[in-house]
Amino acid sequence: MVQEAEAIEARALEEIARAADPSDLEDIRIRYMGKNGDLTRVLRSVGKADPKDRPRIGQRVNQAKKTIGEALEARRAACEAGGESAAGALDVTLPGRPPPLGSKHPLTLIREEVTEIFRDMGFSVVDGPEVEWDYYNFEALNIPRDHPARDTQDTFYLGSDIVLRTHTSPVQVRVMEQQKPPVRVIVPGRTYRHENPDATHAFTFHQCEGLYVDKGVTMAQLKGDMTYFAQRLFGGKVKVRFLPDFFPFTEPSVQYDFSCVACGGVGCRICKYSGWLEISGAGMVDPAVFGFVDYDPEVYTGYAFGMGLDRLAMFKYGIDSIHMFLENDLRQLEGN
Amino acid sequence: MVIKVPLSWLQAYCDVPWSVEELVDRLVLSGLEVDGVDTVGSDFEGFVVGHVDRVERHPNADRLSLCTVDVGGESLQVICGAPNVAAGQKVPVARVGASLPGGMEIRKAKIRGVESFGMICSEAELNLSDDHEGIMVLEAGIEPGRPLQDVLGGPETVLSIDVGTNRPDCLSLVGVAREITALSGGELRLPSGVVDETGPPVDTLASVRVDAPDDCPRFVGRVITGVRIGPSPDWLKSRIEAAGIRSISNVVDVTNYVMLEMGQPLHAYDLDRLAGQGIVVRRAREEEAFTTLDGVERTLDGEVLMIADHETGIGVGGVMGGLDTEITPETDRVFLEGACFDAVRVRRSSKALQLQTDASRRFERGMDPELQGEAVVRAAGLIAEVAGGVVAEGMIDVRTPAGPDPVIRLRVSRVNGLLGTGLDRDEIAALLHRLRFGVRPEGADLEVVVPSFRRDVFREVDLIEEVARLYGYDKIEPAASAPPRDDSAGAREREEDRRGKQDDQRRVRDAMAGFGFTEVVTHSLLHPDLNRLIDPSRPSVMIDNPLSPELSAMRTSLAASVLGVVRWNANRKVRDIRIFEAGRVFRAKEEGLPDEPEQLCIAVTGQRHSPHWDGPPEAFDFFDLKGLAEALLGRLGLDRVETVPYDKVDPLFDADRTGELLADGVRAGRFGAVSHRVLDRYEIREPVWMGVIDCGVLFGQASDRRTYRAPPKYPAVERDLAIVVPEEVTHRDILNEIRACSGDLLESVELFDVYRGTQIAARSKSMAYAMRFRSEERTLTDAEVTRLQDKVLRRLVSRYRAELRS
Ligand SMILES: [Zn+2]
Repeated sequence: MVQEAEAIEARALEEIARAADPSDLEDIRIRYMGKNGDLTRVLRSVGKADPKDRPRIGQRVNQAKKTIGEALEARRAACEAGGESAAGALDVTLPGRPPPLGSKHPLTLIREEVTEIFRDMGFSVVDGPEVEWDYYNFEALNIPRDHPARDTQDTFYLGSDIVLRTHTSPVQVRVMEQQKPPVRVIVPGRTYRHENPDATHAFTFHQCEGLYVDKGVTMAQLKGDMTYFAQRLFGGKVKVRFLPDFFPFTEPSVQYDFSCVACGGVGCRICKYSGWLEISGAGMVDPAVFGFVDYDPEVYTGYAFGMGLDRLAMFKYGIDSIHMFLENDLRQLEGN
Repeated sequence: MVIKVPLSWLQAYCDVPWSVEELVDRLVLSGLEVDGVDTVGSDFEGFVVGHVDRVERHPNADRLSLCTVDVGGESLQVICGAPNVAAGQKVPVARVGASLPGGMEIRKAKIRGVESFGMICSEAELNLSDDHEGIMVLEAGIEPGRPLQDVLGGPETVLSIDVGTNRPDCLSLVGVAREITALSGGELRLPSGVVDETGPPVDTLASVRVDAPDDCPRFVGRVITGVRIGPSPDWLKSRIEAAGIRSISNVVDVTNYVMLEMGQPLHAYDLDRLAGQGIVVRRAREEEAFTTLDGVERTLDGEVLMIADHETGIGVGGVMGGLDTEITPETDRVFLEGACFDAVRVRRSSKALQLQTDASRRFERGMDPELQGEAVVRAAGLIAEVAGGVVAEGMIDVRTPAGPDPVIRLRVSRVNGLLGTGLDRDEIAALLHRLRFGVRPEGADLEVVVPSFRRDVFREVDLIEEVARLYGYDKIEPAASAPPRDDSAGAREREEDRRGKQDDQRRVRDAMAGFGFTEVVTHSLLHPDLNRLIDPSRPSVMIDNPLSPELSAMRTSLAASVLGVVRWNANRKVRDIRIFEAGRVFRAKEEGLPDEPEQLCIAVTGQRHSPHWDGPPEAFDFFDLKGLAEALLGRLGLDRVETVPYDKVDPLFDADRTGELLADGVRAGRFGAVSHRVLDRYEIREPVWMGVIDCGVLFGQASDRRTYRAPPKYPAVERDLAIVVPEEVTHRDILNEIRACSGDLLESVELFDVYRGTQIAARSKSMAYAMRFRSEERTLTDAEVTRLQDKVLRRLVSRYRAELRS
């Protein structure tokens, strides 16, 4: 009887595997496990066996019943999941069920990339308020009330001595007030300019500020570190160029450019056929700024730089309008 | 401030040994930003000077004139549409065959039945300016028939240079030429510094009194008598026009010419209209009325520096002159002012009047206190040349005594220490010398004398910048900075602190993106009504000078702008929106800066899954959102996350379908269906599910310290419990009882079914729970578990009138 049960089991499993749809399976179930099914018959006859063999035989027959039952169930589930043709094969070309694709915003992606690179260089990431004292945004950065440089920093005011920060530089001062050198920080964050938006201007920007103060920090290091950063972000062929510039809080001050990441420097529409992309400003921290935070400029020197995360993201991800960032067109953002 | 530099004019002061392209490159590399290079004029091939002999009306067109023009022994019939054409004028004529700079070729034409052999041109047609108003009228004395290029010069290249606020010395042609000679090593040719003084002594004609010496450290005056006011000669006109200044009259043009040339703003007054023949420099009186040259009457205050005669104000110092004393065609005696005004005073005057001029921009950036004498001499000489007249002897010069030129010690070690270069003393000295600093060695270092036109340089570090930019930043070799070496415990602790929050910010975004949500980033500025709509009790942080009312408040919640994103996309037929934003909101405080807590806002519309061929759509619902919110907090490592009924009045949410999230008993946020009132305001038609979570709570408690536990050693016992309870009993009530009764042995409990219907009493529901019990020390017996289960049931029966469901 054990052999009989085993044979029935093998036959049933084979038929189940060949079954094309649930009705076939139902036929098979009746044939083997129905009232007069083959296996049911064997089970009934266990009682007639020698009492000392009964447990062994019973166990085997019950096991066969269980195995067949599970195979039927599994096959039924497979058939009901759909996709199987009458011939039994899955139409693998039917559309799949995609999981919803989430995505982080390009400004988040670029901030994370930039942060990652500077952390590897030993920078720590800090932040500060967007609604800022005039003192931190201007005065302590060597931009007194009547300085003409304030004209280029069109400013939103909230009362006479509070502004929406026009750059992330005020955080430099806040950090130096709280920490003695060495200081090596970057400050990614949102900034504001009182400027009517047009094709190339917005009133909200995203910047990242950097500051490194210690004994013996040099302009050559600024250049070396910006080159390392540029090459990590855009690849090893990118070059960095410094042009003289002016900022009240750095001296000497430079504008720094990267060789065009789109054309490699030969000239294209993106770099306006100059081969260079203007990134932002940088320089050696002005001794006047050290004066506001009680650092001795004879002992310490430092470099500072800014960068527009919006611009970097445009270059990095091939975005051609600054307005893309805050427009939030999901057809563009989704799944990226 | 952008200045226009016509190259041929520039070359009067220095040689330019490079192509235009190379010149631009060199200027850019040494710190002058060249915004553009334009060509003005043309070679004027086929253009001649014509004399208009006769002007008659065109027989068939009222607006056209039929002109007979003498072009040098030949008379042409030319039809002209300009209203200002008149017999006796000298005019530029394009002959048949000539091409306008714009490309159009001039042909013989028949206009309304009359033939025309050429064209009389306007300045715009000649590419000299934007002036379309009428034809250009040339000097009367020029012979007809002369090639136009002889008169106007050939094509002119004009550089637009954007001079930074720190370099007022470059706001002139001489200043730019000085930069070029520093780069080339060539010679600088300064304008003439002498003038024939044949008139009476100047102090018998006019006087100057400065009552505000701090605001006006120097005031220089000269007088020219017997001038004839008229149009400027063509060379003067074409130079200032190429530099972007409109020609007015010979005397006024000279003052502008010298400003462009030397950088010193000048003003010419009609001396006979100055009451008392004298100038007084003083602050304006409160509410003093004054009409500026632009014809606007203004009310001044004590912040404004006034130039007055002995009766009344005649100009705002450093900003603009007045109408009453300006040069007129009748002016005979000119008083010429060249002053040095204090930068801050001019800036305040200019702000107070909301008026910026070429003069005020120059003064605001700081004026060379030695320039006034030379500039006034130069202008007086030019006025005598182009307007006739006699220059009075000497000049009035009222000044606070100038100190000696500043001397700065420059350490060679400091130069190299800051720049990371290896320059020696003599190399540095040579660079500064080319920039016209006085340099003498002082041991290993240098002593540097700063010329009066570089008052932006007053510290050692300023000199280092001069060295760097002339040496060339491209020659500074990049070096890597030292590796971080602050290993102090304080530094490590500080870093851990900063990292914690940043890592959480990143984890929130990663988790949400992982759950299939798209991150959006919106503006922080909005209309205060939107803040009031969503959070009426909270005051907005307001901007004093907003771009528009729609951008006049700082957001108090992300909900307003996130709903804006939902609407924007829904209007573009995006269905099934699943978005989040993590960002700052702004909370006004009694005093000081507002708080800027971070918030997470989640919004969902549409279906639970994207549509698929194998099944009907299922709408996203409350429990999807709840599952999401709790999973997020769990993912961030928060303990004991639960949702309780939300008992606050909150106009953002529909009160019946909103829950409050607690993390370890602390309120962490709320989520639910956005109220109809808010949706109506946004004109969103679909239901929107929203969650607003306070990141402060998340970041305060989150941790990513994952601990893995050993798999269980002893088997679990599973029991189901189905009970019928009155409607008002919540799942949370039941859960609390089950947990309280079973203690440590309860491993998990899950609700697996809720039933309402005919099989049970009305106003009640059946709740079925699967409980799993396990001990870490032994195998539990059936009897033991049954006792626990009975205990739970008894508790539920007594507390909540529960009945066991059979
Ligand atoms: Zn390019």
